[in-house]
Amino acid sequence: MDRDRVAEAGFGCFGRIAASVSHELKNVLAIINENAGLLEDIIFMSEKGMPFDPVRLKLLAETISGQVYRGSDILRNLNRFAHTTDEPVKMIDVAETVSLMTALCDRFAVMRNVSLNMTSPEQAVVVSTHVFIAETLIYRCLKFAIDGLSKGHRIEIRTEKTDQGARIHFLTSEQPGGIFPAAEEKELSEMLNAKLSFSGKEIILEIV
Amino acid sequence: MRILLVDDEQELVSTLAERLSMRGIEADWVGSADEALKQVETQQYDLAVLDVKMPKMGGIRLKQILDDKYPDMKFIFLTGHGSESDFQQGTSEFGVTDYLVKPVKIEVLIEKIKAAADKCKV
Repeated sequence: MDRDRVAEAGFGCFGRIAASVSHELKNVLAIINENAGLLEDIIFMSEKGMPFDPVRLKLLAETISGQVYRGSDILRNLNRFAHTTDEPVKMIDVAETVSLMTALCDRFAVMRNVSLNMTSPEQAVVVSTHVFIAETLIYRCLKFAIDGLSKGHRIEIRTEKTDQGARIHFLTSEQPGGIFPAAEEKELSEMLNAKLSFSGKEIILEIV
Repeated sequence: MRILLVDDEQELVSTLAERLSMRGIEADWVGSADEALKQVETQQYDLAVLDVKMPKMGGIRLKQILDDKYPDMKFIFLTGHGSESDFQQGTSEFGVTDYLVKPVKIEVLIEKIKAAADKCKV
């Protein structure tokens, strides 16, 4: 096993997600900044005698608070992701982990005009695994599909329980371009003791 | 001078357009590069303020298309990059020289708009 390749894949995953989150948070702050600025403008003009519309002010306040909650949700996901490095190996609900990584990859998909749709199993699918490596592998499956699809296409993500652990399906509406799994995915699978397969429009990741 | 603002964050771009209008700068806004390409066919613009990262088509690609059709149009970019040096590194090959990092100070944006307007007069 090439541990350097595994480490680079992990750093790459963390770095790209952190960059994406920071971009999105910049937008949140920019919206709050502009709406707070508009509030100042309206107050300035009202001091000059121009009447203001209370309904307008209410909408501004709602926009600002909406963006605060949006930012909070973004940071909550980043925080959860960051904390997975607290314990290298632990019991996880695979569906929740897939849900987290799907949320963190959503912006990549939006930028490529690809939609992500996730369905969760009715019961928890719990395995003991190396969490960050599993997340990195899920990220790489998603990123490969997102980057390889034409605009307007979609990815369906489904998690199911197996006798040995969990199986994650990534079904795409067209065959993504590119080679998969690449060396990094093979190394990550080996470290995780996972099986990774790709056929046409489906990637299957089995974690045992 | 008439300005077109392009950003997929509509709560940002609509508010920015309103604040510029309050300051006597004629500004329209659209939420995507596709909408921008349609809008410029209905109205003449001297300057476009473009968000760099947008779904389907980003600001730099949009600038390349608009440059061909409207060579006198000026451009200012808005970026969510962490720092100006990161942004400069990533865009130097596209001839991007005028940009602001979000969140922007409206006074700074207006200075850049006025500077672009002076270039138009020359």
